[in-house]
Amino acid sequence: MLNRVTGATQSAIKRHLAWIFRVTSTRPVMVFVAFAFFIALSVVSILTTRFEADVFKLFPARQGALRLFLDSLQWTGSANEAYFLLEGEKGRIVPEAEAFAGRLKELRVDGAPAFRRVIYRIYDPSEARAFADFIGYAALHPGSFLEPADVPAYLRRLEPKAMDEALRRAGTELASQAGAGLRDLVVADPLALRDFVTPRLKRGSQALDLDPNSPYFLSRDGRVLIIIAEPARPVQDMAFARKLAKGINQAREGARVRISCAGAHLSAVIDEAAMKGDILSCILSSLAVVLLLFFATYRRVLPTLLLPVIIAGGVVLALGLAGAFLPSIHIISFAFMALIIGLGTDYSVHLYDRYHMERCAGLAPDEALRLAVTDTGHGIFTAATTTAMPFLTLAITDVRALSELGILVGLGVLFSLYTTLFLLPPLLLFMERLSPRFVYRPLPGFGLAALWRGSRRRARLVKVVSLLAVAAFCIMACFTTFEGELKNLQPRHSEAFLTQEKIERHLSLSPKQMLVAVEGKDFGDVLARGARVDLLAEHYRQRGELAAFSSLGQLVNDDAVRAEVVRQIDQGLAGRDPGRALKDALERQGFAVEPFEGTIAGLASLRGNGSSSSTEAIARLAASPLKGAVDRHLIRDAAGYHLLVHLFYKGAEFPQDAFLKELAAIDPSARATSVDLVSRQLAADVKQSFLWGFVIGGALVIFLLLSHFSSALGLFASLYPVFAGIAAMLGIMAASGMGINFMNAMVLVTILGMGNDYGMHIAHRVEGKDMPEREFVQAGRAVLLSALTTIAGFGSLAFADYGALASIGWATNYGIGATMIFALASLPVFLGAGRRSSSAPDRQMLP
Amino acid sequence: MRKVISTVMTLTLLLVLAWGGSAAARQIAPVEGLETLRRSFAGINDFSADIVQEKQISLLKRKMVSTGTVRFRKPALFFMEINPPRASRLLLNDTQITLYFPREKSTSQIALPPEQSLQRWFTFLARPVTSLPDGADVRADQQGDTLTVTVIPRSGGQVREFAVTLLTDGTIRKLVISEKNGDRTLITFSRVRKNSGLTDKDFRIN
Repeated sequence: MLNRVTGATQSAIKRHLAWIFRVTSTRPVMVFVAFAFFIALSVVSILTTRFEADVFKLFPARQGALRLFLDSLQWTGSANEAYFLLEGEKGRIVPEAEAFAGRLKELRVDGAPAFRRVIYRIYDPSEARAFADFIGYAALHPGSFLEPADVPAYLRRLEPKAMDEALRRAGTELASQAGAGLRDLVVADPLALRDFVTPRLKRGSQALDLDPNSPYFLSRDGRVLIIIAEPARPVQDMAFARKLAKGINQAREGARVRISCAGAHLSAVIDEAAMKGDILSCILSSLAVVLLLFFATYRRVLPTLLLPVIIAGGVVLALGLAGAFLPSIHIISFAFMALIIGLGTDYSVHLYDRYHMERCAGLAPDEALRLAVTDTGHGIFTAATTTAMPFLTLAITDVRALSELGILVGLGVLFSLYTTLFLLPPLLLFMERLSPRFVYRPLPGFGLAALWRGSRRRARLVKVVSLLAVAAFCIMACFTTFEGELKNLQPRHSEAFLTQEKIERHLSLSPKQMLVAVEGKDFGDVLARGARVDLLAEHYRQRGELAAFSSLGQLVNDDAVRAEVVRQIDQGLAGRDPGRALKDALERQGFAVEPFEGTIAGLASLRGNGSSSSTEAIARLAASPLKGAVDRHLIRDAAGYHLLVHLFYKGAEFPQDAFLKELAAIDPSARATSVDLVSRQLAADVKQSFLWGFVIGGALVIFLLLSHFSSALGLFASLYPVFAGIAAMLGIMAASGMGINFMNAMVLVTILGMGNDYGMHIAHRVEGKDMPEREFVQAGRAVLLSALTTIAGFGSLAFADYGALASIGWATNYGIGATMIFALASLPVFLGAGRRSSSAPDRQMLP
Repeated sequence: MRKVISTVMTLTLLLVLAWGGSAAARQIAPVEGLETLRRSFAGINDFSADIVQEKQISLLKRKMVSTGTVRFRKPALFFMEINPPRASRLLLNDTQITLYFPREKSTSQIALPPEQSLQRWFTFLARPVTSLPDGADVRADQQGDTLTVTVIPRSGGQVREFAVTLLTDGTIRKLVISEKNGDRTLITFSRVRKNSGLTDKDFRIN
């Protein structure tokens, strides 16, 4: 059955290639017209394709840690926010911040203000009245705002002697030059009961580690100040974001302190130019090296000039087809199409090399071209499909970054193949007509003949060394680690990345954070469940496994704690009338009683005042200038309430799995996210995607190889170098301390698809031939050039600033380099052994 | 609170500065009154003075009387200390206000917006006053050898008006700050010392 299928496939491919040869050699004009037509269609498709710039849409976010992570960015709006970090001398940084914030407020894009708000101060004095009102409320509602531990001190403040002392302090405040501004606060809270409420509120509302004595968002060492700005329009609007970035750059010109910018989306725009430059320089340098290699080997101008056309044709056709079927294409996926430079050149190398060799051997142009297209063409057809299939199988993954990459690169490879097959033959025939007297001289052998002879003379030694090397690399590969740290994939010199690092270093409460979300439609139920999470977090904090945590429960007591505080207050005030006591104290200290009637009444009803609820307290807090503290911890949308608990930890001392297990036990529906959890989720998704890609892609590769070869030796010759190359790649990565990450894992698929080409080409040409050395030199030269052009295409990424690209570059250099070496150095002896041991050397090998 | 504090301090400073220079003793227009203050400021790098502050606050039954000192140094440092029993110290460094209560050992800081910075006022005073400042009405009255310049802010803040009283020889006598809620602060000045070479030590808040 398998033989029938593979035989039919082989036959269909041969007929297909024969048709291509016929069409390209007899109707070149029609071929060019058809090519131009498809290119035009693709251009139209590309022009109507929506290119996505939202980096968060590259990853699967239907559930899990990444979903909550994205939700939280949406809820808090922090994904859209821009962060400006000012660094400099302590005395200079504040005035510069004032000036820069002023420029940001005045910044306009398209005639409208660029930012909705710009904040850099903890407390806005214009909100003094509202702040005083809230403090007055909180001071008289200890059940909601007082921690049980502070109840005794609160009760002591209500004793006559303490009241006198507090009122003297109020008098001092009124006598000061700030007295007029403090008047409202004194009226709202004459006994300074806020002493027991505000530290808790301040602690709970603090998202950054700031200098407690500064009114600015200033680090404790006074050398770093952060400004947070909310752009007027979503920065996913790239046209707006680019203008905004330009305006920001103008606003920070001439500043006497260093001002850097970060922000989830805005950073993409700020770094856009650097990233574009990075990718563009990689593309141009790759292209230059590829063209140079091709020209240096074959010394033909027109085929060399055709290479960029083939590459561009492959990219445009692939993008046009993908754009017609995908709802949108991410610009980062598009950037990876640069890989086509390395991949798409191989087919021209093999095709031209064979044509040149046959012409050099004296064959007529038509016959040389027929052999190149139908014989070598079969090899490159198998090579292209075995390269494309593993990429295309990535389309099934949930990870958009991988699926789009797989589709685009897979299609790019196939279209590069067809562009080569359709454009190169007419060009070669045209060149024959243009220069009928051109003499085809033997091509450089690059020492491959000596390698063939040397290997075969020491066949046993080469085999042993080759197998030992593979074994050694396999052992080293066992030590390969998975690099889940997303930060390491960032551009190393990215302004946004470096700024984010500085924020973490200077202003973060702890190096790492975990966010727990308790959700539901019943607010009371959500609060009660949130209290249980608080309790769990407190246990971890007491054990030193959490550095700190913040939650709404730290700002406002839940019903149980409120009942306990009210009970203690009632007990402590038994037989006392604090309202009357305040009235007496006010008179003793020379204060008028009338302005304080509200406070007197509030204190008089303090005992037995258990009627206020947590809901009311939160509503009052949310309506106060401290609303930011509520916004950080409670979100209400169409889905219901989302109560957020922020956990701060330093690293491994926080047993995340144990915490998540306990969290699931007390609240099965609670969700959690952190950078660690997101990394873990991505790693699992990527691993699963690659596993399926590897299995399905591998099966397709084997099927295609079986269709190409009918012998086990051909299959072995194709797979041995790629197996050795992957082992070497992983082994060298392990030895050099480089782990597999989300991005360079893609190279495994690439090597699987491309690596077998090298062995396949050599086996295809050598097996069953009368002059295997000549065939090996021709195929080996093409393999060597292919490998070098691929390394030039991928490998140049190794020097990219973008960590993700660099890791791909290095992995490719190791993998392709090793696969090529194993193919060229080992196969002569293995294929030779096969020839000697084969009873029917010519059986079933093509042609 | 921000506007009250900044305006009180700035006018306190400006009016005290005026005490040293002006010698005009005639009926003057509001603009001339402000120009007199401006001229008085010229040539002063620092100054200090003792004060007596009387506050009539609706929260208190009795007038609150305190003594203290004020100090200034260019370009933008202003310091005011109230003596015990109601001790407090206040430092304005351009836009940053630091308030310290020694008895309670508590410090708080307030940031003024750039448009209310001390430096901005001195920029305004760097050129002759030819028109009234935006956002305020100014009245100048002369009674015998005493000149009173009253500034009435038009904004919706708490302050109704500031009034400074100077003798025709430029000697400041008093500053009155009236608030819309009826509260009133009177500051009288004595022992003014100009260009005495004040150092950072004189502006230490704690």
